[in-house]
Amino acid sequence: MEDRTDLRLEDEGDARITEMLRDVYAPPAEGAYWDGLETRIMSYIKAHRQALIPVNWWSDLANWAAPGLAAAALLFIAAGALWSRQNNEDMRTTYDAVTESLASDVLPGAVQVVTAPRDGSSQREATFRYVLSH
Amino acid sequence: MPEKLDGTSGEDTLAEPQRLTVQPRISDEERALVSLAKGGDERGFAGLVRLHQRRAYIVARSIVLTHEDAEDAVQEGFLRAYQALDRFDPAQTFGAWLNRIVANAALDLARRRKVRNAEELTESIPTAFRDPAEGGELRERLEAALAKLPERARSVIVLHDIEGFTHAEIGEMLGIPGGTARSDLHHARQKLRVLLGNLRD
Repeated sequence: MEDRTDLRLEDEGDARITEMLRDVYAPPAEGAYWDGLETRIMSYIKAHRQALIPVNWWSDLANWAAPGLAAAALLFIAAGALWSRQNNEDMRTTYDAVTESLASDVLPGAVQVVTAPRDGSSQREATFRYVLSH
Repeated sequence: MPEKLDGTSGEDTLAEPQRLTVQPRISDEERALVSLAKGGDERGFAGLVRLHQRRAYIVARSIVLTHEDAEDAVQEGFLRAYQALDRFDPAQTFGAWLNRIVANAALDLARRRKVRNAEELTESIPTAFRDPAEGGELRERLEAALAKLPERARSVIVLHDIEGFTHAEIGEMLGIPGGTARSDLHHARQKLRVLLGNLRD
């Protein structure tokens, strides 16, 4: 048994309203109208198909996982190589500076390497100290 | 069992599960069309449109105020159904699933219209598919009264009293329990009667 109940009308007034409601809400009867609506709906769907959100977007994402990982690995290797090269250069520069400094201390008359003062004093002051030391 | 004007009836004592056991069967034709459409065949979906557009129009028209808005809601509803076709459960009927989507599209459209033209809407007379002049003044007053009803109240009256949907079906379409649809119907009828007081005389 279904729960449909007809609008039970007590008087002619309700019957009149129901009749008018049927009239107001009556769907178009012509077959041509429905053919036209079907065409319109299908055209609308075709026009908006590009905007469709893929339902299985995660599977699309999974397809990009392998190339993404490979690219990330290449980037990591390149960054590592660059860092290693830079590190070697820094070590070499430090080594050269230390050996030169040692050489000037041991050998009198050798060229003294004057480094820029760390306390922020001016270049002029450094030059003055160089002249005094000679 | 007849329902009285105060909305009460012996039907209220029926157990809800008993009502819900009535399930329309999906036809072989519909199943084949769904299968085709899911496989990306446009003819399959066009066939579903042909089968269901009339009922979809009735559902949309019960919610929105004009024939033109009903067409727009049907169109939008079918697009949403097309987009969500992969999520359609073949165990249920396509029509019931589609009607719910169309009802949502119609409710969205009705709310947008309401927000946009709040002032204008309450004063305007909605246009019907047929010539609005043919029914004369009484019809205009009926349409104006319908426009004053909330969308849900209007739709339960039309879907139940004019189109013959059950409370459970209406509830499913509008996303409310069947009992709420029944109660909405009762209040909607009362409100409509007040609005049309002297029209009934």
